Amino acid sequence: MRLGEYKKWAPVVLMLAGMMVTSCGEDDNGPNAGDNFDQKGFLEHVGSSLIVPAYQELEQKSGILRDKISSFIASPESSTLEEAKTALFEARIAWQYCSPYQFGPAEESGLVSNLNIFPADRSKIERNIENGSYNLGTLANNDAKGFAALEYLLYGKDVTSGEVIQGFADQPQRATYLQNVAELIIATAAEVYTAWSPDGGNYLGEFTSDGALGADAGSSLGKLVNALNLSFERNTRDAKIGIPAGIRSLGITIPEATEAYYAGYSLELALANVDAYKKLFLGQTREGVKGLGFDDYLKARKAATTSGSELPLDEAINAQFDAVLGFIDQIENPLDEQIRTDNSRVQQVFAQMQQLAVLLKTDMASALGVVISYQDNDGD
Amino acid sequence: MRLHERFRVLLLLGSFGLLSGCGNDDDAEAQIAEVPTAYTFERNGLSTVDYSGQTDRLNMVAEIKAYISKGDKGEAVEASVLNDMFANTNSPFLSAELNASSKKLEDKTFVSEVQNIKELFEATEVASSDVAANGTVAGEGVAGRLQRGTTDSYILVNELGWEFTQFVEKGLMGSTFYNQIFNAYLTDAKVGDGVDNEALVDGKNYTAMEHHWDEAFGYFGVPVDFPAGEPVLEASERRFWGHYTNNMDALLGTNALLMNAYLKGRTAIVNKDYVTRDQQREIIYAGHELVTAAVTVHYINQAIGNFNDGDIGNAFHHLSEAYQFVKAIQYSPKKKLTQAQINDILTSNLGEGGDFWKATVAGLNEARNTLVTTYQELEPVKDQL
Repeated sequence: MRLGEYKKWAPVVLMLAGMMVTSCGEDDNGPNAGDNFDQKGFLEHVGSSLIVPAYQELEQKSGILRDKISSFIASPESSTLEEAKTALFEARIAWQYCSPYQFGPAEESGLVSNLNIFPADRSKIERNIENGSYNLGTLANNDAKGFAALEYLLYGKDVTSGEVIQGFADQPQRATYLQNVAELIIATAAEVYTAWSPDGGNYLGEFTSDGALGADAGSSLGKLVNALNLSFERNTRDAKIGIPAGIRSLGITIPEATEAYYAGYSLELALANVDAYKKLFLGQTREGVKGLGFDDYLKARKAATTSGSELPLDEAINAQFDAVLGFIDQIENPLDEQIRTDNSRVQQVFAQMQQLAVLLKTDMASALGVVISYQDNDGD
Repeated sequence: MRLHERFRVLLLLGSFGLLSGCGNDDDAEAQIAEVPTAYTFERNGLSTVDYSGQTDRLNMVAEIKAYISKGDKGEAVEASVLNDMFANTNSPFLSAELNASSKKLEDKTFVSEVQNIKELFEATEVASSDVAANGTVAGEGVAGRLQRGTTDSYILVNELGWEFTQFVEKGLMGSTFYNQIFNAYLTDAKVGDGVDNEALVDGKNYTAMEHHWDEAFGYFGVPVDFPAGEPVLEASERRFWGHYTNNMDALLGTNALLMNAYLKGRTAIVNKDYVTRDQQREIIYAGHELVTAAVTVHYINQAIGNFNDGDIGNAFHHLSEAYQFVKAIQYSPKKKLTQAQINDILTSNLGEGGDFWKATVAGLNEARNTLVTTYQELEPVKDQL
């Protein structure tokens, strides 16, 4: 959030504080009085049935990834390489379901920076391997680690898998680098899962505690709504679609900036990612079991869209999720090729995502009384 | 509140009664001043407040910032111009008033920092000329420009990732403005009991002690009616310490904390109530320090977010801010953070050897924890900052 924003939302904070005081007597759920929505139940469901399982899955898949990479290094051949590639894909899908939850432990551990900065910087990776001395924790190496780096190393650029395997056989420090990157992924994923887990740091307990109810900036709802919006705008709309499609570079496309440029499955990742947001919105588990979601919250508040749509807000958002998924379905892997041949359809995906971003950031946040406290970086 | 004030005034009146009872103060002004709502103090119907020299220096830093930030836009910046601005020689400013001013920044800057600032000027010239000629992009060990996110805004950095504009502007906020408040105007040498608070300074309408207090207030740089009004600060007033104090206000109540202390302390000087003056001095030291620590945590939070966005331009911008804010704390002789802790943050937590390219999320969290642990007020709001 820009410093200058504070003043802007000071009155809102005061107003919310005022609401909290007046509503205490009538509603144990904090400042969002005026409806009978069970905010605590919502947070408990989202926390224990969506967030914690998502991080658990990420830890598990990252562990398998590390193991498969070790097996590949131990016996570099095409079967072990394929298994490592499969494990990488599965860990990346697991990541997509964690992506909306980049607050608290995930932010403190720098989860995104260790797992999913893309595109990877090929020459930096090769330089690190060549030098043999590097600290993967540094900002300078943000784009030389994570899934994108593993992908580059396992798939290579314009080479056959035989050549990839030979590369590891010829260059022991290349194998070490691959393993170090995989180790950092599992270490960070485990750290975040442990921090959330009731058996570990129990951030889940904090997330669902009475003190974290309400809608102000420090509340769990405030953090969740801010985090999902920030991540959707930057890591989904912009990073996966907008930047490669040239939206942020005066129309000059950057096909190499797609998420899975070497492996060619960027769209599967994008679909899983949007599905993660949709499931969070509906309060659905990965298996599709429905519990309290944002849709129920908006229904309870009888929220309408600001655009004057006839649909109530919860239905409008749900429909827009389907529109985004539908437009992604109409483009083809590999995404970089699609951008080169018919970028207009990729730009349409961006436009649909943009509409969804407005509904989530403007309509939903204000219907829930949440102040969006981050801002687009524009020069303080 | 009002009753309380009146009660205090009565007490003061009582103590004055005692003093005059001793017969040692023939020409003491008998009436007791009430704390005003705005920073206006008068004697015989005329203002006793003058901090134009401080305002000049704030304006000089504003011009330096405007000039050096041309480097962020890709233009070449000249060290000689910056040196002239620092020393106010050769009429370097756009403002004729500043060129005519007898004031300069250089002689009020913390002595050991003067050389560092001049070196930054030289490095700015080298890096900005290189960018202007070759469009150099910064990298590890390479000075140049970095884009902030996907915006069309850029920063010019040195080989360690330090943004020149922030290092100079925020650096001077610490090494000049804070230095003057902390190590000059609020010290015993300037407002302590040994300082003349009886006779008016030759040709002026203020005592030496009053004037020194006002000069400290001048470096705070807020409008006299701060924080009244909506907006609290006009666009032209959103700069330096007043701006950052106001930015922290929603979470920490820093506006009233500092403004009331400046007002009460100045009133106490008029009333020769030195116990109150000294209490307010302590509040001012602690209040400025709290604002500075809070702003540092804010920028560290921003930088952690930028890490996760893979956004090096914004990360370095925010780290440059954080670096200079936390460094500003070192100028307070009453600081809660130790010099060793500050050094640790500067040379280790924000990147080994102060090299931002070597910064890690773990290091940033460590710096944040040090600050939040030292300033307990920040604990409940650390995620919102």
